[in-house]
Amino acid sequence: MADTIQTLRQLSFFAELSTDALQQIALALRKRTFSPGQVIILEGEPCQAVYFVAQGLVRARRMSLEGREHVLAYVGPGESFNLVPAADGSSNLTTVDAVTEATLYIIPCRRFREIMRVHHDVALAVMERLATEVRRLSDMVEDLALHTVRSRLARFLLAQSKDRQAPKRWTQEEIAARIGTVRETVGRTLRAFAAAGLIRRQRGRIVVVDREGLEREAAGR
Amino acid sequence: MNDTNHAMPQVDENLCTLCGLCVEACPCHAVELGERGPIFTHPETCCCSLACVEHLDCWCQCEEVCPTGAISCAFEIVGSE
Repeated sequence: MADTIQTLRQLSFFAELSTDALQQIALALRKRTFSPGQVIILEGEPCQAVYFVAQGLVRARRMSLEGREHVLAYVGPGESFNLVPAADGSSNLTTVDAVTEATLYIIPCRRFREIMRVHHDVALAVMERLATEVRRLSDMVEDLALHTVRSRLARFLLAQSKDRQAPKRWTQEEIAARIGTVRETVGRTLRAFAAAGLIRRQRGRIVVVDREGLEREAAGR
Repeated sequence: MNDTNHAMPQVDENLCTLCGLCVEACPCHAVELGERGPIFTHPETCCCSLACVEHLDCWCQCEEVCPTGAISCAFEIVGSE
């Protein structure tokens, strides 16, 4: 038990929680490892549990009836998913699958709600996470509604080229799912950026060579 | 799997219809058609590969022309060094 609590404290969600709350959580959770590509939860199914990523990377996505998918988030160590249905008792909002091998802490929804009722610090931590999520999704809505694909792709390239936390290799399909378009458009726009001298493709990499130019594209200028 | 292999285009043989468009489109001549799908036989000329010495900047035309999405070329996104 002490070991589990110590491990939980290293994850941001649990870091500030009381020892009492962590003891209850440690009793309620189970640990499970998923293989790359393995589906963890399905959109629309009844919410069974709340999930915290201990190691690895998972992605939350929604899919249209025609099979087009939109990736809402990549979730890494210390982050959680499925808090919304756990909070309101509704069905799963997204399908989540493992990108890399991923080890998760899983707490059944009913038990998690009982813990929130008793331990207000847990409820507050959930509120903070949900508030962050509302902000992030508001930014995403703005991005999709107010910016062109060209601008969204420029913003995506700039953000990724700065992110040294988790180097990831992206396919055009994955970028399309992330910025809300289709693979062909991503390919065409990347070639246009290259022709304009903003980026260069080289040995398994896309190199941002003109950051200011890409920033102008991102701003729609 | 080493870094060079990791960077090569990935093929989903279940989606491949053996149409051969990828072989025709590849300006680097890095791909051949095998019995079950394309095989990237020349990493030293494939711009997806970390071993590439050609620098043709082909933008993975194999992936572009594939009608079924069977080929995916993954890349890191970095700032200029």
